[in-house]
Amino acid sequence: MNWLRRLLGRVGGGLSHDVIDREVQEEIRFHLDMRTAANVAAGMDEREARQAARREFGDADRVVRAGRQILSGAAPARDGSSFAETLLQDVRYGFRMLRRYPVATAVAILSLGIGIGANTANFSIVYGMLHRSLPFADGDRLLFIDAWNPDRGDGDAGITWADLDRIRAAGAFEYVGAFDERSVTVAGQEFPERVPSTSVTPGLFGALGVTPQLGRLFEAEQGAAYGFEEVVLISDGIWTRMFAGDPDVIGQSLLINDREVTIIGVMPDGFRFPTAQQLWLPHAPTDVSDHQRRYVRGVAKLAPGVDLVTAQTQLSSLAAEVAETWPDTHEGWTMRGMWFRYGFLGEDTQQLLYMMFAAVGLVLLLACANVANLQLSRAPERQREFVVRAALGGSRVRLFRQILTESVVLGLAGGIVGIGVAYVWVEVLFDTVPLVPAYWIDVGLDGTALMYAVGIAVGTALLFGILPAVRVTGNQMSAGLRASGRGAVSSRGSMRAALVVAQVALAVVLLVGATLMIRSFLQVQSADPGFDHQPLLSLRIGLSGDQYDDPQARSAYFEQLRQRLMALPEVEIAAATGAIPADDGGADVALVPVGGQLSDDEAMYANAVPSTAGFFATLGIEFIEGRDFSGVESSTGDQGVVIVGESLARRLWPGRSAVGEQLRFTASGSEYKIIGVVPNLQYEEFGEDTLSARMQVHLPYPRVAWRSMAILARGRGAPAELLDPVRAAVGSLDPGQAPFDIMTMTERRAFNSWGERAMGQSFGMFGAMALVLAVFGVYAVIAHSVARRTREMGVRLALGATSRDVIRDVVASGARMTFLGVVIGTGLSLLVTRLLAGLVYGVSPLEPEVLLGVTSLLVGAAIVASVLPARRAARVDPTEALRAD
Amino acid sequence: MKDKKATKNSADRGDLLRGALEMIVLRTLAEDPMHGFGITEALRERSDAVLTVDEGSMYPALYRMQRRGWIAAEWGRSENNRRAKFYSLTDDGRQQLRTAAERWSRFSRAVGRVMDPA
Repeated sequence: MNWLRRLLGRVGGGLSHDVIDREVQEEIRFHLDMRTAANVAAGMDEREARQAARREFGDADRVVRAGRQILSGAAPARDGSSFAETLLQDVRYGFRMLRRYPVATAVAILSLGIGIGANTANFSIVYGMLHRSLPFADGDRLLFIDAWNPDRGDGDAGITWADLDRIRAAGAFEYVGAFDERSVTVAGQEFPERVPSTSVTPGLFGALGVTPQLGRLFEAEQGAAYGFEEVVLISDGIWTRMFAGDPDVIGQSLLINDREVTIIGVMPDGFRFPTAQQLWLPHAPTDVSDHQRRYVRGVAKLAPGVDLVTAQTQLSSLAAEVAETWPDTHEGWTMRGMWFRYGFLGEDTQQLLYMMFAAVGLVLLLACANVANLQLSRAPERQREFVVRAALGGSRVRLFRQILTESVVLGLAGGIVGIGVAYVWVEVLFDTVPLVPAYWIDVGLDGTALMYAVGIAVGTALLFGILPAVRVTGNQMSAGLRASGRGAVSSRGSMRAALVVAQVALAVVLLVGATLMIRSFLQVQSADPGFDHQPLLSLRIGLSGDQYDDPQARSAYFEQLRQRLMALPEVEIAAATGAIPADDGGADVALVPVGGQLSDDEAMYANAVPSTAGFFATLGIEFIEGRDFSGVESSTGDQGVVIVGESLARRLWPGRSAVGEQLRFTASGSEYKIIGVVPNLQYEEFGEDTLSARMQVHLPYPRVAWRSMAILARGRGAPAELLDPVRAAVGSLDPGQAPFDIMTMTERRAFNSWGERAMGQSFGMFGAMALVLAVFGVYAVIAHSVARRTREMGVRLALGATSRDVIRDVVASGARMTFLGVVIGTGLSLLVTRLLAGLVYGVSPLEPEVLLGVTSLLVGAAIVASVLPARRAARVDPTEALRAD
Repeated sequence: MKDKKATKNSADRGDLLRGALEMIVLRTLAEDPMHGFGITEALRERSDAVLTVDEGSMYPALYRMQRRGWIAAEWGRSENNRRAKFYSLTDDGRQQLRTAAERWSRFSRAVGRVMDPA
């Protein structure tokens, strides 16, 4: 029949398109003029009034088209003639809706902004540290190779030259090179400087595809024995700082460790390798078959088509072969291949980063729940609006899309705020990092991070938009036309309550995690290092120059330095040590008691630290028994004496005195007489010591005569006051030496705990956000349900209920939601905190008082949040309330 | 959830809702002929601004009813002496309003009984 109607319409109606268009247009113009006039009457200025009128009217073209189609008898216009047009219209409408509820909109945008910002910042950090492609040729095939011995729990030993040769021959790699990080002393204009440098196998940079901006790379045959350098590559930083960017720098020489070294190239702007080093020396072994000294780290490029697992399998079978060949030095050792960056970022770092990522994910979920809640609270009102629109011909799909579009507009607004938050977040967080990050770490917000921000903004918008959209356009459409808001209230109420329960549960998890992180930081900060660190100044010296090739000269140097420092009026006592307690560790040795039952195979691993006389006194440590090294023992005299730690003494000579007993180091065969026993010291940083670090043996300095030692000085006053006199004393003894890493022990401890502090701060912030969002959620739901139940309250008050009854009831409903959330959250925490166990120091993952504290905090805050609306409920005037509905 | 059954009849219900709006417009026109702007104003006023919509969307509904013969359009003079299109109820429209109002009150009584069974 349609064709007939259409025909009749045309003929019988006699209305041509032109006439219809003109009439409809005139009608619209009239409408707009009238609305404008009404707006002007309401106080708007002319222009504003007309704009508002247009906005209120919506898409005029669509009305014209609809008029043409309907009035000429064609099928009625369908919704939305084109997708883009509809979208634009929806977006415009969405903006209008958001403006209509400024407070709710601001709260929503702010919650989302914080959530999205925190996520974007963390994405940027995780991406920058773990996933951004390395700025090297084929960086995605680059492996870092080191060795470890599971028996000793030793995480980062190097490999030997012999290992390297075998890896090269094995075939899984296209290129195999090695590097060795070490600092050198460079003579500057005024003072000698300590510069972090690296020696690399000559072909390494070529394999990385890096070309110098000036000069050339090492040639294959360049490379000298360790400590014997002839040519050097410098960074652009050194070039500009020490040579003022002199274009003729190539061929000039640099005084490195008291030796003239020729500069052959300047590396490109910003280039550092492997992390932040700025000088590169060529490195080749004197003996390529050296299978003893583990001092290089491998850098290898996977051959095309070889995957990581294959390479790793090959490395471990190689290690097994090597161990068979040289069981004495390689037994128990294996080689590890890992992606280049993981060689520098410990597993803990990765785990922590992902943990933070998970935490901010939860914060975002909380924010989403809040926004969904806000949207739901407007649902009844929106529902009536949508019913009318549906009646006017809006299809349900169309309306559904409308609400989603609104959510997306909200989400994107939150995203914009979030990008700002993320920017500040990354800046602030990385400002607190006291280290120079590796060259290839770039955590700045870039296109990828911005795309991520937009992605999660839209994603979360869909997440928090779907529920209200289903609600509003869903089954209760017909109920909406009843102007009262009571229709279908209970199921919406329960959905909102469920959201709040989920929020509280998530908040419990986040707060428990935050508390753990903060406590871990406090523990690290207050942990007892076993000595009185406050009056101590610490610094390091790495002896450079030929004159110290003789170990006796090194012993003499440190003994003289000790004497000079002790002579300073500001210094009470000073000593040199191979390891600063609570910071680094000594050397691993295997030892057995002389005359005991242990065979060499059963040797005990211990941490050997060389020191001069006065080390324990400087730390303020009393001897348990025996005595310290004498000045003679620790410089020139009899050196066959050691001081052992309490644990080692107890282990080897339980129940009796260790003084007078003898030890034999299995590797060297040297024997030592024990002259003293001291309490255990904390070597390595807190939380990083291994079992062997707790078995301690202290050697007199000349036994090892390391070039690089630390100096500890105990001041009579504040340790910072020691700085200048100590520096002057070092300079006067030998102006060629550059003291570095100078810090008071208090500063050193703060430096060593910055990671824990940063984690504590970050998680503390997440926890605070979670608390605020969850409490706000409770408040919003209670406030809303009170507003909805005004009439019920009125009736109850009219029937004689006291306002206390009403308050109690309202608060109880808030408490019920919170309690349920807390119970669920506690269960989740039990699961989640297990993941944190390895990352926190000195805190057991789930302590009852933490849970108790967190839950009572949440319950308390939730009760406060429900008391406010409850009191409003109790003030309801019964007659008013009854009339209102 | 509770009216799962009704979802199946969504076509009917859509009609019901559309019918509701048409009924409201017809009711508005029952006393006096009005132009489109007047209808939106009256609607806004009488529903305490609950029934506000994109004003433009009102017109296609008017055209549909005109097309069905429930209302008639005629150009006339507005209160401020401008040319405006006035809509008035036809006999068919009056009949339609009666039927619709009856059906609506039956429906809302039924809903009322279900929702507030006091």
